[in-house]
Amino acid sequence: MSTFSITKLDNGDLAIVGWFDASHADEAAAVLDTLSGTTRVDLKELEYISSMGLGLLLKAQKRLTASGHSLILANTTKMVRDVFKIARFDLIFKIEE
Amino acid sequence: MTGLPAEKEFPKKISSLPDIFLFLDDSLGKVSPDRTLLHLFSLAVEEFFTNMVKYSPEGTRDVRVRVSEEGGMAVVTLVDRDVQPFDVTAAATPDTTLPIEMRRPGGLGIHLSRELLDAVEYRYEDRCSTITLKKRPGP
Repeated sequence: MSTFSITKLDNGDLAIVGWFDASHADEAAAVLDTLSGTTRVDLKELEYISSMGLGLLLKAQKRLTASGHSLILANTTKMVRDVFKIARFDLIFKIEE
Repeated sequence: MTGLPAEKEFPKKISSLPDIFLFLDDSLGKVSPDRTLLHLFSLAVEEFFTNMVKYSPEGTRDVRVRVSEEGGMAVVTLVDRDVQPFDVTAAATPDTTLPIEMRRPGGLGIHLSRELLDAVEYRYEDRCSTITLKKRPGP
């Protein structure tokens, strides 16, 4: 259940997989902080995200937006889609279904 | 209901989260096989547990987590003992319509918990903070 990974793929995308909770915050931040251009984030295998995960995505988006870039969130599962909807991430991210 | 209520205590530190999720998975699975229930409660429990770790550090005792089923609803309670009152459920609702430059992540987890669950309640008694979370399983 607490399996988690965040990986830069060969095609330039970022893949976040598994259970994104506060116990993985440092690991996630270490990767998100290295992004410097517009990046598509593949979430098709992300089962769970908490407010900590949302906060890290928001922080990365703010930093990238300031330099003319952005995160594109793609392939959301129902749980993640519902959470994004309540957090109104649709207003600040491009979300690809 | 077989196996419920279930109760377990967890050290008050972030590294307890994986064990808490396993406990919720095992216990809530007895209420409903729908993993949506697990996701919703996990989000709320993580939020309130991490707040206990951050904002009630004076309490050194483990946090007690209890899962039960009452009148068709799944109920999860968190009990933080020997602490000062701190009603985190009373936090203001963040403005999620602000432009990105003004957005702050603070308060988002509590807002999500209120929206996703049927009830989020706080009680303080005998130096114990108790947070009760309720959700009726979907069809």
